[in-house]
Amino acid sequence: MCSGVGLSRDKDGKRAGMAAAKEAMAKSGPPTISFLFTAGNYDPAEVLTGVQSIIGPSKLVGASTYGIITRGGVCTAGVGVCCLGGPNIRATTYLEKSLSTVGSAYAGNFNIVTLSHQGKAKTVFVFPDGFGNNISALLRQLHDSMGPGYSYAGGGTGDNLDKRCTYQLTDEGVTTGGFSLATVYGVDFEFGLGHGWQPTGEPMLVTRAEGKRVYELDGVTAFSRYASSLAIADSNDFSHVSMKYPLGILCRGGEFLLRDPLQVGDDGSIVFVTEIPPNTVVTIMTPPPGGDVSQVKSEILYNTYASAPKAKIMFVFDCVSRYFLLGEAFERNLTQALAGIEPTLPVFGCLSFGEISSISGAPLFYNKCITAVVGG
Amino acid sequence: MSQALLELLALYDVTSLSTPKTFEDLFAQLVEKTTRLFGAVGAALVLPAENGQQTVFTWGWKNTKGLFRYPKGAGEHCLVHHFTPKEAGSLYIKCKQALLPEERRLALILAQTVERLIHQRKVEEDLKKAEEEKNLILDSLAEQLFFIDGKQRIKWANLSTASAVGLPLGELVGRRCYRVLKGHCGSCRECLAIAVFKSGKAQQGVVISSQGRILDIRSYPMRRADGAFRGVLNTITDITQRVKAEESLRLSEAKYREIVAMLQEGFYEADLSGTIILSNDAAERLLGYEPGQLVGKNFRHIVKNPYTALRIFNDVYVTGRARQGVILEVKHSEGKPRFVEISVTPIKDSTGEITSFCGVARDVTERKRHVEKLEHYSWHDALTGLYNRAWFEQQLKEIDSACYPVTLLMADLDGLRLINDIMGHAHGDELLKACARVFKTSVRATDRVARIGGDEFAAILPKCDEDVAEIVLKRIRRTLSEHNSSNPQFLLSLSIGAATSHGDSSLRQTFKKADNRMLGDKLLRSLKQKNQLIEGLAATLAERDYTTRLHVERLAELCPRLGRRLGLSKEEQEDLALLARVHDLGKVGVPPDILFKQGSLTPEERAIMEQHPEKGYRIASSSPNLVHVARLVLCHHERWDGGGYPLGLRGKEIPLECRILALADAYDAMTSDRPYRRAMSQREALRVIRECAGSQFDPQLAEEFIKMMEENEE
Repeated sequence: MCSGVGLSRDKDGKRAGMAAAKEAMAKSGPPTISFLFTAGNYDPAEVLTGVQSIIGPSKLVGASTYGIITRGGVCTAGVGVCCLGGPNIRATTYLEKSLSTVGSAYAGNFNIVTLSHQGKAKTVFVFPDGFGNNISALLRQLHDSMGPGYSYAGGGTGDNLDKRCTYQLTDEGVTTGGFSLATVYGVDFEFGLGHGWQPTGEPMLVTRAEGKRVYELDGVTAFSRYASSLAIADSNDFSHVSMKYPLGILCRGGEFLLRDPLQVGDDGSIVFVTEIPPNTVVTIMTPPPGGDVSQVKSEILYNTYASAPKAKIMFVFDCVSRYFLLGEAFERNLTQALAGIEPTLPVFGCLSFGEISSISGAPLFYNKCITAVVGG
Repeated sequence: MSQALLELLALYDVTSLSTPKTFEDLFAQLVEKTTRLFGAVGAALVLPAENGQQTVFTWGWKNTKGLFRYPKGAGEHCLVHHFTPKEAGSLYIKCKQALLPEERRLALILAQTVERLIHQRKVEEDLKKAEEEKNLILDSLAEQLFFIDGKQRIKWANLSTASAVGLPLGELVGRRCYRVLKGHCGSCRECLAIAVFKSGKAQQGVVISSQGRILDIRSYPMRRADGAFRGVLNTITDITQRVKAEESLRLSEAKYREIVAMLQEGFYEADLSGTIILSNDAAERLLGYEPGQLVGKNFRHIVKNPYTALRIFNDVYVTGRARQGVILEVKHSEGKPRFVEISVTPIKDSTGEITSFCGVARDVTERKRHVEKLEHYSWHDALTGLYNRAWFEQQLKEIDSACYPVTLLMADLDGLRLINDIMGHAHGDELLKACARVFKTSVRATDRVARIGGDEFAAILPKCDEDVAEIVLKRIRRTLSEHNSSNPQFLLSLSIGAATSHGDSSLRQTFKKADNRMLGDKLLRSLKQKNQLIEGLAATLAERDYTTRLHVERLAELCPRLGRRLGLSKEEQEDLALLARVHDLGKVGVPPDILFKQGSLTPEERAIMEQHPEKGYRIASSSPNLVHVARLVLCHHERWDGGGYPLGLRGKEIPLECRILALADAYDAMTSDRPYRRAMSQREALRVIRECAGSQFDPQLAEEFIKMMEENEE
């Protein structure tokens, strides 16, 4: 497999796309599958036109993000392209125009083209609208639709938070409020995921919730219960505290699925970035001693890289909330983390609004995580 | 966090499933938890559906074939949990990695929690369904149904109650029944519910509502299992239509009974066993029963032949069709046989099943007798009671071959026509009856006698050969002779012929043979028979009037004496003497009340009387011994002047003998006592004769007669 990553900060979307694609193709050769991320106020259609004018008939998947991650750091205004090519690589793409087709049902109903492939080198990259609802259910539907044997990676798409309007792209076109998907065959990927938070141990039961809003914890209003555990005086302090102290839902192996509290409602309910099902046991998560959650990044990136002997590309999807939380330390931390990785290994990713991984089995939607996908 | 605490959290998580609205929701919860807590990549839930099929929820399966069979080598990755009982459902979880013991334990707890929720949901669904069914049933009732507690508050009511009250159902519950249903401020007077409260027993009553509806109200105490009183269940049924229908039915039945009672014909209704369950007075009178006595009687005790009645009723039952005109002989209570004509009509219930019979009955005893009489007369001769010709002809065609040898007798009553002419048909009929009696008493019991013509008789003698026939013939003649000896005024003369067939010839041919033999017999006996007949007639006349016999004797002396004086020949004198004896023979045909009437005859009586010369003429003509004086008999009442009868001859047209007889007959009549006058003297009689000479009498003969009588006197 050959891979290449290109980045352009040209303000013109088409030019930026062409430039980024050229740069990526210069290293990968004719691509089988291309990844495209935009950051900033680009017209995704123009960008797509520009990229496709270079990559030709290559399959393409991409999305709008808050920032593009490359070896150079985080680019919050630019176009990034990653091309993968090789004789054994095959790919299909799928663009779903709206997440309204996703309900709480688990049954799959997508007409995603799949190819027959022996072995476990089947990976689904999916980029749903990060502001959309019920992404967890979407992932379950995709799993049911695709069938067993697929690994999942990706993340929620976003923007620079000006317009709160996300784009999802494939070689078929652009959509907004939906999801883009690419299935890559023939590349062995290894996956890593982590967040760094630790459980405080005080369990609470979500006694009433609907969608992303949790009304009650342990039978009392959510904020009052949350605040009592953290000694928050009032909701004005919420935003400062909530970023550091997400709720954690128990996962397999003693891991916790984080759920980022976003805002407090007038009724004492708390809106989260992602849904928390009612009758779920949660616990307040706290940063590790010292408060530095960035340490996990190095661990994850390195361990994942180390587990992929034929690494030719590393995808990194890091939660935008971590970017906001760590601030300037984020890029420094990224650079440090990548320092331990072979410098010629292309790195491509984005600041995602939620992360997707099937590291524990079926694909789950994570918050506040860093995921690494290394393949070759 | 310690492992124990993590496990505790997991335990808390797996047992925290919300009660789902649907099984899909429950399965979605299951999938969320298993993917998160156990890394499940597949799950399946199989539940039995109501229609016997299975409802299968799957996630992460491409192919459900082989579901719930442990894949080889993948047991550690899977959990299969069968509900209790197994038919209640099964749960399958497939994980990417092998389940650790604590994970398997937690997964099992999750599965059991799911099972419990499903069972609970099923119970709730069954309960809800039962409740819905119950409400559906109760709300579909036309009757009002409502339940009140001890304080008369409505706890539950059905739609009919709400409709009747005119309030929505929700506004009834919780309110006092008397306020809602009646608009009263307090309990109703004679409230059935209160009566139930007090007595603890069900109560029932009928009231008329303000709208004039008739309502049947029933109140029942409702108790808990421990016997504690819960309240009263009330039902209100609008029975207005039913009451009206019952009243209408009652009136209709009364009318029906009245009509039945008024019928002139008998009416009955009987059950399937034939027992009378309803009858009217006319039926009872028909059989001579007192009122009310007929009901309960069975047909087999009423009719003479129960089997016939049974067959008829059975036929109606089997075919379902009514029968009319059935005639049965019944046992009248007084013992005398009666015949009734009945109809039998099946009565069916609403399903078409025959439940009883009904019909009318009329007494046809007289009609039957009349019909039998007509039938009898159609085969019998009315006068003699013997079979008639039609019957005889039928027998000739249909006689059974087992009756052979068969002898046919043919008999003819001689002189019947003459008798009818002279004596009248009544006398002739008596002779025919006498002849029939002779035959009946002479033939065998198996023999059959018929009158096949006016004076013809025939007999069929079955199993009778020539020898037996001869015996029968002799018996007939003997009986005949005995009859004639005892009844000289009804002398019978029969010409008989017989012939026998042994089957070798047709009965028609045999009959012809017998007839021929009868004719032969008649020819042989004809002269003697005629003399016997006339002697019989003369004897009849003499028997009737002794004076006539003396008058005849005197005339038999006078007439020849005058004849001698006039120089008549010997033969003429013999004729004259014979004429004197038989000139009034025709008077045997004159009824005695006319013949011996003392007063004047009416014109009709005179006309009958003046027939006797003609009758005498026919009698004399039929006898060879009298035929030569027949004309003299006919003319013996002619007058010289032509004013006589029956021919109106005058003068010398009248035979001499008749002119002589007229003188002698008149002289003797005048000189004999009559019941209405004394005899004249000779002188007076001769004077009358002289006066009538030239009118009634021949003048010359009158003069000679007078001279003869005067000379005789001297």
